[in-house]
Amino acid sequence: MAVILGCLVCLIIGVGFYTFYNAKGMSYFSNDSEACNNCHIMNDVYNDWSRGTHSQKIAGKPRATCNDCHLPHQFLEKWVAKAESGLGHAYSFTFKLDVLPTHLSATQKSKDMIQDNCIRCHGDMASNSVNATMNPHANQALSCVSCHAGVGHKRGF
Amino acid sequence: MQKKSPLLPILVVVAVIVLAGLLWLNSDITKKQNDSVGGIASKGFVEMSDDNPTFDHWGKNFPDYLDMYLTVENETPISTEFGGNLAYSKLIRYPQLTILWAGYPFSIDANEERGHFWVQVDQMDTARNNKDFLNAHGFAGFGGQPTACMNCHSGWSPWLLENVGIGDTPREKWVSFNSTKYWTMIKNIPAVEGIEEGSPAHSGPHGGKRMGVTCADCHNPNDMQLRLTRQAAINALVDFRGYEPDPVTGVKASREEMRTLVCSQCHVEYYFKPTGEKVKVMGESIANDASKKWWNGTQKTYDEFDSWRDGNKPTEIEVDGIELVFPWSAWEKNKPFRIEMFDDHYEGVRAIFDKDWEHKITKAPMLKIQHPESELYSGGVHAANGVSCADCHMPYLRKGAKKVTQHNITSPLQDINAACKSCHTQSESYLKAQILDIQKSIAYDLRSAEYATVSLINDIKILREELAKLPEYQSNGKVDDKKISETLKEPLELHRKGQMRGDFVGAENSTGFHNPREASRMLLQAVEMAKEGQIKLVEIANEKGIKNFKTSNLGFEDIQKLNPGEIKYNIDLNGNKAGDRYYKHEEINGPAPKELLDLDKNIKPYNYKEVDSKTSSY
Repeated sequence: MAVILGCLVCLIIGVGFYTFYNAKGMSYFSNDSEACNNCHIMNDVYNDWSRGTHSQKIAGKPRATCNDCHLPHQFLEKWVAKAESGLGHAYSFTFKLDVLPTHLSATQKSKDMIQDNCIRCHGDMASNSVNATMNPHANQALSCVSCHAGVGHKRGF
Repeated sequence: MQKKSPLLPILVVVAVIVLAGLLWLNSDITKKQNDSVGGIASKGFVEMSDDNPTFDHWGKNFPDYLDMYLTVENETPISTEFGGNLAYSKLIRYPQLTILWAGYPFSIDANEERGHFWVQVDQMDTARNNKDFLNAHGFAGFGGQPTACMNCHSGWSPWLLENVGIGDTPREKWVSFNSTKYWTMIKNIPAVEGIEEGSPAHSGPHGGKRMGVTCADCHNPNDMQLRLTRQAAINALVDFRGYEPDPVTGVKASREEMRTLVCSQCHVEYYFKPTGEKVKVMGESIANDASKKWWNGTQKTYDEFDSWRDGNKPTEIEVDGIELVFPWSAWEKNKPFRIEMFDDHYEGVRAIFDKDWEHKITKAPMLKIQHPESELYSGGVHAANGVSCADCHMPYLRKGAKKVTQHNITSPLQDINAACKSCHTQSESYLKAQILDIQKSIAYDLRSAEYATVSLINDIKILREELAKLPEYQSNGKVDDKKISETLKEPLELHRKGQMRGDFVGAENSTGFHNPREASRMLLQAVEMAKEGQIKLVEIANEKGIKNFKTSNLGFEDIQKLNPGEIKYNIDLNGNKAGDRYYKHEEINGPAPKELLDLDKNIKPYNYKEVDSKTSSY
């Protein structure tokens, strides 16, 4: 019995590694935007991004990748957020693919992360503008993407 | 011996389950990765041609699209506030229609439509296409529907035009096709896809005689590009609207235009214009069989059945030619449509086509408007921004890894996320509320127009009766209806033109959404014309010395008394007993859902406390 269990555990480890490889698991530890495009739901957004200003390469690297805008930048927060959404996406993609809406909408959490990231890079510029409407505590406050809607990719993809 | 640990077998079982799960996950990942590679099934590709336009055949190459198209065959019909595909009786929901259409077959059978798949099934089932039933229910003069009706209902129509229409030129074949009896034409649909000639399958909706719209109606077999196949649409675009003809795609147009034009092949106003000539068409030998009579004892000239039976054979006969025409002569290319353009067109052809029917109560020469979606939409804000019909009614979806166009063509309200949110970033509930708000407003206008027109009809009826009593309207002891109509010419014209406007919005399937401004503009005219008509009646009554003539102003409760109920046989007919339900399927032609009637009750007059507190139920 113990031998069978031993064999099974070895098999599980083997198949587990292969599954990880087959799902391009390693790519999810990178910052590469192509990793997001592993999932074809992202095809349209990825295409939009590729044609936009943020994907222009400087010294071989795009100005901003998906992660630059969509994840926090503090080490711990970034990996917690990455693990959280990674699990969520894997679950939806495996079991809920058929019921996902055609056009996704950002959650409040996602909106907050994006807003922080706009400011992280464009803070100097933004601080020059009158931004009384951007008080995050106000009801339905505007954010950067309220006006600059198509800057990363077209909305409502 | 040491006692066996119970843990070990449990761990083995768990390990097996984990392993199986992993293997399944693996295959799922691989399957989804492969999904993104192909759009068309590459194995077993079948050749497509216009000789076999069935969706069962073409669909072998496009199984995903066929699945979508056939959704409506088995799904439970869904109603929205003002549309959907639940085939309830419009006459029960809107009883005013029985008066507005009095004397025209629509006044006894009109139900909500239920999608492209069913269009031919429904056309063959409707009481409007049942000569015996109509003859027995007050339409004794009815000659039976022509093939012109079939232009849009069958995917076989282009094949039939080519192969059954008689003549040497395309034009002759075209007129011959339209002028043939509907029930004669339907007998000519070939049996394909292994279907046996004359079998139940051959009579069915899958490739046979009851097949509705199919892939070939909009797509070219060689490269699947969009094309026009309906001659009336090509004629109208070329003759009236400055398009150039094209042998493959019907007319030369951009892909963006085609995404609207393929819908405009059928979703338009049309009429059957007499050509003024005799044409040769296929007839039936039953016309020479003296033992075959209609219910009222007149000779049958065709067998109201979908195949040749009892020795009945095709013959050649001569009949008056008719042609399916879209009334677009005043509508220029790239211009928004205006209702006055129909006035201009129908005035222009009045010498050869003066009416669809004579109104039974007022004796006005009437025009019946039929689903003019293309016309209304053309001037709307969506059209102005380059949005096509397909953008909303056939939105892009993800199916597995593929981007596909929705081919279960239906109300965009069924998938607001896909239909609206490619452009509109607001929430679905917000968008839904906006649509409903527009529709409730237009529904108010439409009910106002309809009730005003019914009131006018009511008053014309009373004044006709009053005038009939006067000696000047009697000749040889009989009432001279013509003379009365002459005196009432102005109100009768106002009846014709005003009702046509209400009819336009009623027959247009968006309750104004396709262009709310134009819809409310023409409905305001309709109300004006009805009221203007009533003023004329009072003037005439005064002039003729008729005392106590008063105009009426009917409302929701008065109109509800006209509810005709479900369609029943009035007499024993063709094996049916008096009182039997006309439709065999319960889901067709029943009453509308109760919520809808509650909504209607509060729309006119507009009870804002009720109507505005409700959010959409779909």
